[in-house]
Amino acid sequence: MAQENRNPDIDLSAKADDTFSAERAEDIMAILLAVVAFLICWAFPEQVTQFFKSTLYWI
Amino acid sequence: MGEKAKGLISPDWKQAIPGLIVCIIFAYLAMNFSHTLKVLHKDGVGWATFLYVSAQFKYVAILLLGGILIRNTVGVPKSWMRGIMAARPIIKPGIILLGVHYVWSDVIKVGGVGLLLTSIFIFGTAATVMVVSKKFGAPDGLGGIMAAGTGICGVSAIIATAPVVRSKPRDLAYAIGTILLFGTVMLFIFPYIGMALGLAQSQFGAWVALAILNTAQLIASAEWYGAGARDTAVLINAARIMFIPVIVLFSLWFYVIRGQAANAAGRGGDVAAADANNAPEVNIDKWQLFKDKFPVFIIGFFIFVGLNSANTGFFGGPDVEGSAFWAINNMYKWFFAVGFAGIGLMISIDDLKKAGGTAFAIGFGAALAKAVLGLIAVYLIGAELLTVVGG
Repeated sequence: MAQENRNPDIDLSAKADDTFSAERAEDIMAILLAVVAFLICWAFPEQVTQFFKSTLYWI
Repeated sequence: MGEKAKGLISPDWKQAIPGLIVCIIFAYLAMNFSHTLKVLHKDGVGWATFLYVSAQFKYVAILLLGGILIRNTVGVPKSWMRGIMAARPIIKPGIILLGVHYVWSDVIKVGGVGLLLTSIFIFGTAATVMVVSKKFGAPDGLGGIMAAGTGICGVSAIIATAPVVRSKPRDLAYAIGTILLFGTVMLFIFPYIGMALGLAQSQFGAWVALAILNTAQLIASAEWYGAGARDTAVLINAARIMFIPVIVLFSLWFYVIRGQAANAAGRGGDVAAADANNAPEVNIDKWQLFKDKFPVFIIGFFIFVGLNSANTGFFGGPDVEGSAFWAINNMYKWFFAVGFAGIGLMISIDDLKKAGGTAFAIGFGAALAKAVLGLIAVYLIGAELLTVVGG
């Protein structure tokens, strides 16, 4: 509690900045991953489908 | 507030590898178990039909329930936690790729209804929580984060709003615990309520997008219900999360700017002015705040909707065999599976127990009211207007 009263705003601002900095990075990574996935699907549609629809399953 | 992303790759990325591998393996096993049940059900095996059809024990349920069971019984080593946390956002590329399921007419029809519904529900919930919190003497810091949390997007909105409304860390912990508790409970019970009420796929998708506060949780719940529910939920959620920066600005206005303006006008007896007297002067670049809180990944989703709508034949379509979008249609579910594994393994009963205090009372009232009103709204709108046709 003593720590809380000292200056909670500073900690929360830093936490919010870190969180949203991380979320922005997550969002950009998500777009990059989607673009890579799209390019692979564009180049090898049959193989990708075979892999995700059959190869990955046991039966 | 005006910080940009510090780097795309976190410096401690190597620590994420073990947990990420665990989530991928878990997703692989769950997808195969679900697939096996489906095959056995088609072969007429009774117990498989019970599990797969009656109990809806599909890959989403296996990953979520299995994850919770593992996390809260045998436990998860600390060295895995970083990777498990990194697995949850893998849902985002799945959402972007799911853009190939939609055409602009869906976005205008379902997204338009969704935009109207979400704006009414978001601002209705947020404003009601703010006013009720003030009336019952809850501190601004708590009222502000609960308004953002129950109104729009759970934990992200709470953390975004906390410094703006100057919340105490204890209130923040209570608010996050409460939002996590409701999100988790709703995620599991909504599909069964939907089935009991006979809700159409599209109605259920719209309902969860309005009532469940977290993107990953609502998509899990909708996917559990069915593909039609998921398609509607993703589109309405896209409309909803674009409101995050708006709700942060709204909180800023309600708790800070309004008070400062009243104070400057010399209305000493005004409640808002009284709040401002206790508040330090805040000078925030509102446009920067808006840009910082905007969920940019959703732009990727709309780019894929645009490419699919253009219907050039160059990328094909989700049903055009041998095309790029056809291949994507078979791939995106695996992104979801890894993300759901992360969600399941992240749910700790100890974290949920942190829900409490005034935050619990406010959160319970707001979440329940939103769920009931959302259900009435989707009943009144009907299934047709909420159905994604695709193409």
